[in-house]
Amino acid sequence: MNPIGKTPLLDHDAEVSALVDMLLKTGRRLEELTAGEVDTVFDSDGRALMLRGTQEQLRRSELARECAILDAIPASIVLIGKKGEILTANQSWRRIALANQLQAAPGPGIGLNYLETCDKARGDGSSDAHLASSGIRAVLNGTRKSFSLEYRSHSPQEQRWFQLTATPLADDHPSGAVLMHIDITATKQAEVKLMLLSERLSLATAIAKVGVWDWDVATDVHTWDPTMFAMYDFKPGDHINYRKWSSSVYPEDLPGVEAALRRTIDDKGDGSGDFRIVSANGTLKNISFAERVVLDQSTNVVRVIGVNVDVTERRAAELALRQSEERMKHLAAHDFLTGLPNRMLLNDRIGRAIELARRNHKKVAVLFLDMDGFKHINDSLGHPTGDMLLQAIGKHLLDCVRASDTVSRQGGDEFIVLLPEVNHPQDTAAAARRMLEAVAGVHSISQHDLQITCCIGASVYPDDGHDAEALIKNADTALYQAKENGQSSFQLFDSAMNVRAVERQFIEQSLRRALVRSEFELHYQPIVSLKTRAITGAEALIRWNHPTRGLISPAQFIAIAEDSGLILPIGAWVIEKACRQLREWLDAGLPEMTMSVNVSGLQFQSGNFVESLSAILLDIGLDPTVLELEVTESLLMKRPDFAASILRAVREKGVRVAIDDFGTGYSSLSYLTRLPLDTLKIDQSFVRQITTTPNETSIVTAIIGMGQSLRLRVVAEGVETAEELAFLSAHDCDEAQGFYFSRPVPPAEFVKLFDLSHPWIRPASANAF
Amino acid sequence: MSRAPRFKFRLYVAGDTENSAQALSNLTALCGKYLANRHDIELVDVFREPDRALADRIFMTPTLVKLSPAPALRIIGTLGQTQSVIQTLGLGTLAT
Repeated sequence: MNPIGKTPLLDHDAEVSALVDMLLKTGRRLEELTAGEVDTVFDSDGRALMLRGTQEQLRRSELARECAILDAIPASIVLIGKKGEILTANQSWRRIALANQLQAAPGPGIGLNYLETCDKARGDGSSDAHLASSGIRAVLNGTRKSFSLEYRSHSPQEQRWFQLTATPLADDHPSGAVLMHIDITATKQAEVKLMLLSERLSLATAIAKVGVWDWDVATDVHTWDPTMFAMYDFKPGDHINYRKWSSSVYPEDLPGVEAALRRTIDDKGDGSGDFRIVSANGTLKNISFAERVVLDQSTNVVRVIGVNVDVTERRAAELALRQSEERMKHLAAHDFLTGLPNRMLLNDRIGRAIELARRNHKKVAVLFLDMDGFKHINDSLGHPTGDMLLQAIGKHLLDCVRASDTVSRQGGDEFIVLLPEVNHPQDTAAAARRMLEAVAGVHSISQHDLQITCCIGASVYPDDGHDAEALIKNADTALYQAKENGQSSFQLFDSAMNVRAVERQFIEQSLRRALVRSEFELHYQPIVSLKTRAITGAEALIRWNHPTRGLISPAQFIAIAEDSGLILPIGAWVIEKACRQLREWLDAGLPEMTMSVNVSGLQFQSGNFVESLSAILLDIGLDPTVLELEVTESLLMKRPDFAASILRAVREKGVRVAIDDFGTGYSSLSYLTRLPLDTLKIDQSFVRQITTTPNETSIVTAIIGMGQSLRLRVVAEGVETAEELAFLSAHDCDEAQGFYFSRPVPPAEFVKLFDLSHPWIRPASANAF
Repeated sequence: MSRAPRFKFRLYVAGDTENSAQALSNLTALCGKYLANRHDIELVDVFREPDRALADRIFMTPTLVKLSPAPALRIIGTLGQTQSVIQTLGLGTLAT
């Protein structure tokens, strides 16, 4: 055998075996003999014996490797002895120990008793430290196999989390333990963040009642949140798949929502919309949805996630709002009583009709209707009945026009009808006739069969106006004319009417100021006894001295005063003025006589007429029997019973009553006998017949005869000739007035009539002056 | 053209002790240089497979065994003396 030198050792079994045996026996150092080339040798039993150098080297390198590994671990690791003393620490631990100034010889933290340090902890985090020490002790004494604890170590600057694990050095007989601290701050923060986020999201969706769903397209697994289950009234454990969901969708809406879903998937995008569902307990709900696809790395659609919101209440509220808006709109544009369009809507429709007619060269007609004497229905039967009549009239009018026509109510008893397409002028007249007939029919209202008529005035575009305002105004003017023509009249507007309308308006405006400005005065016409030729009375007649127009006759303004209601203050003024005048004359010594005053129907009907009349007479100190009120036949005819009751009240006060213009109305004898009257005044038209048609005087004689048989005083009006006077005298007419005796004259002149030199005053009856 | 023979080695080591690691490193270097793509090395750790070392009559580590081509032969040590190892294994002639 060659000594082992610088040449490779050749293996000669026997030699080597012998050598090994010898070496082992002699104990010589193998390293020297093998020149350090060999790590191990085997004994004859095949046991490998490690050479000492190799042993040392192996231990060193293993330790170094283990240390390197331990130092490379970011966790802080210490080895503690049975009592808890720190035996060794890795780099991470030493760094932290350095930072925490836990230094003790020989190295940072080494030798310190970990358990005692934990036990001594006080204040914030001390409970975690105590928990750690007891856990570690359990591991050290073998009662626990391992121990783990998560704890917080928060400084004002940052929040940190750690996990402590204690593992025994040997399982069977622990002689110490490995403690490892791992910084789990990042994990913990992510966990906390995720939890907060998820909490916040679920809270938000719960508050907003947003249901969240997630559909795995491949497996058809639907993951629903509790809000979804509640929305569909499914039980929390129910298994949801596409079929179950789609069978809840309202069948009519399913194709739409499925198409939206398919589009979302095909486009790999998102979608939204509305659909209805029938929930598990049968409730119909409105659902608003939004959805979005989730793609994998190859951009294949793997899931669709989305939200459902129950918008049933919102939709209902929107619907209610829309309906109430429509209702408000309808109310704003329609008459509350009849439901017909009001003035505003009518104006709009007239405007549109004019636009259309302008282009098509057609005509538009506006018909203005006003009921005749509607006020009496309200007064006698009450407003509710009047309202029902108006509703019935509205319906009848609708029945007799075309669908394209508009029937509107203007308030009160006025209606306006728009005919937007008129081809011939006679069409308007034909439509008006139909309406007159429709209104004139019998209306059965709350057990009354009511009959009423109306008048219609009409205007036509483009002849009578180019806008709604002008057409309505001119139709109104035409209506006035129709009213003057009598009940159930129709009148088309013509431009001459405008002149009258302007005049009418001028008079009305002037009248309002006339009383204040004392523009009225009274003239008096004597009433003469045909037997004695003495003045037995005076009729007070109003005169209006207009500052710019001069004298305006009653014929020009009384009707307007009555229409506008101004007749009330004017009439009251007349009565008081005439009474004061008579008082003055009597005080001045003129002979006893009566004062006749004309009273209008409106005055008569004003509630306190009788009372205020009494008050005036009392105030002036005039015997009521010297005052005679003249009322027209037509006034009495309109409401005979009502008129009779007023007349009776007037006469009970002692005031006399005369019927004016007798013979012009349609009075029947029977009704005359029922009225409490004192005097009949023959209308001047009959008196005139005495001279113009001498052979037709039967009316005058008949009236005189009638008056006598009813024991009424008969006065002839408008006597102008001696011939008339003679005739009346011959037929025993009681008294007369007229130009033959005197015009109506101012008070000062009236006094002079008592002069004896007047030809018609007999000296015998002149007992004054 | 004669087909070049494939070399089969078996290296017995004792874990990753210094000499064993040196031997593996030297063997790998030699094979890379002279026997590229025509050698197999089987590594036997005697700590892991002590029975095998006994069966194969291995008395020290590291020990390299050339199984083929014949003749089989053993070299003990780190295989650090490169020239003599090359000669012993008969690799020198192959390199030319």
